[in-house]
Amino acid sequence: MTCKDVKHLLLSYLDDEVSLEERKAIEAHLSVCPSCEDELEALASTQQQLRQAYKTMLVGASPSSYVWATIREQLEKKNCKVSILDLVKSRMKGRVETLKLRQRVWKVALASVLALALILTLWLAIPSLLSQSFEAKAKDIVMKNATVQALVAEAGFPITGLTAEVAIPEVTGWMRPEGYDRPVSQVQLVNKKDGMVVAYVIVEEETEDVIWVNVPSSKKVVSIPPQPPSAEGWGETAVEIAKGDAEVQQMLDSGAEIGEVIALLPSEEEEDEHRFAWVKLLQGEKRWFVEVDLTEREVVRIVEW
Amino acid sequence: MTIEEFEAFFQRYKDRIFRTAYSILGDSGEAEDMVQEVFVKVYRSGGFLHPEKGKFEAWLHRLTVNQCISSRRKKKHLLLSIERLEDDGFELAEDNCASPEKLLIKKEESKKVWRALRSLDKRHRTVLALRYFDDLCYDEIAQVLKIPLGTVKSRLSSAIEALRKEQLGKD
Repeated sequence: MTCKDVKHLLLSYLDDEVSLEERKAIEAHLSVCPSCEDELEALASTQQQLRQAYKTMLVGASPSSYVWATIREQLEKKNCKVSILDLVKSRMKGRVETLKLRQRVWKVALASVLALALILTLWLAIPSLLSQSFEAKAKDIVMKNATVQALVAEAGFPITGLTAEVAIPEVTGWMRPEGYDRPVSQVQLVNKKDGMVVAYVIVEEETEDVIWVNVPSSKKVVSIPPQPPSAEGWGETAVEIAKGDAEVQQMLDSGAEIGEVIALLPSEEEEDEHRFAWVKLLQGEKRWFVEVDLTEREVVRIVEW
Repeated sequence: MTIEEFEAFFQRYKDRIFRTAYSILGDSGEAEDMVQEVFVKVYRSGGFLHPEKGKFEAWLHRLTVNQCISSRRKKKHLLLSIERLEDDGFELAEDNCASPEKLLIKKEESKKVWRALRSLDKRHRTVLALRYFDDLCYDEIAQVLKIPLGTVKSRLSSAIEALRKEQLGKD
């Protein structure tokens, strides 16, 4: 390797992003080239300074306390629904015209009939429309699902070479388990080149989870449990753990009540197998979240707001 | 989820989002704006309710990085200065084992590096932050930024080069 080749690879070498062969070649060159050795030291020093600068500047950094207030304001603005009728009424105030009673009754009756017809039409059409709209979404969910992508890639079909089409149940080959009555969509992944079906996928509409994948060419059929787990399991466990905490028990004895339980996703610093949940406590206007570690079976903290 | 419940979610992740944004944007005011944008976006998308297991952290991180990359610098914010951070009562992280003199030297060196970082263009700042703050490997950086691995390597290389030139120029 020449000095130019080695210098080009030094950063990747320091970041441990070179192959074993490259590493050996670089180290062999460094042992006989002081110039490249100096360059390596300078690069390592720059990396160390960078890491130190980030650590110094960012560890412990936190946004100002007003940030939440600003976010809340934005979310509340969007949640506020203004009644158009109220706006019109407020503008018409003082300029109300008197209508003949007979005409008003006739118009109200006609409007009622039309409204009823509209409601009936929507009631008949909406399930079909919703189903169609979720089918489009199901295709998107399937194309972006990591498990599906991994399975079809393993079979030799990268996801970029496939398109998703809604399938009829019989063709998909999925058998609905006994007692399972949630609505699902069935999607086929088709090879763009030859139009052959590469995979069959089932998506649960309520949770938008992929629950079943069949890749015939690799003879792989994967059933994926929906996430998060059912409330009958972890929810009861979370409440049980919370009630076992002395501080929580004190709060319950003082009149607080247990509200809903919310699944909490693991953070980067936590072990993958740790699961957490929030148990909501309510007392009048007051609210608390009890954070529970389901793996260690203990209360981590109680957050009040 | 109600807004009140979303606040608990905000408290849990705000620091992480802030630090990622700050590492890329280099300005605490802009980073705070970014925190607001990201959380409002998360709330409206409802994405955190139905993510794939184990992917939520990566999704949130990617969202933050992409928002930072696509954001435009707002002139109303003053350029971040380390002095402003200290005025705000922000304590620079300390090494409990080091002497006061060594700490001071370390702080001054970090300030210089930080100033040099802030003068780089956003693409360079982003790859440096993802590699040396978030500690992502090259493949992970490629996935977050949706660029080829080769581009990650060359961009990191040019970022380090630019940083060293900036440091040499200031010294």
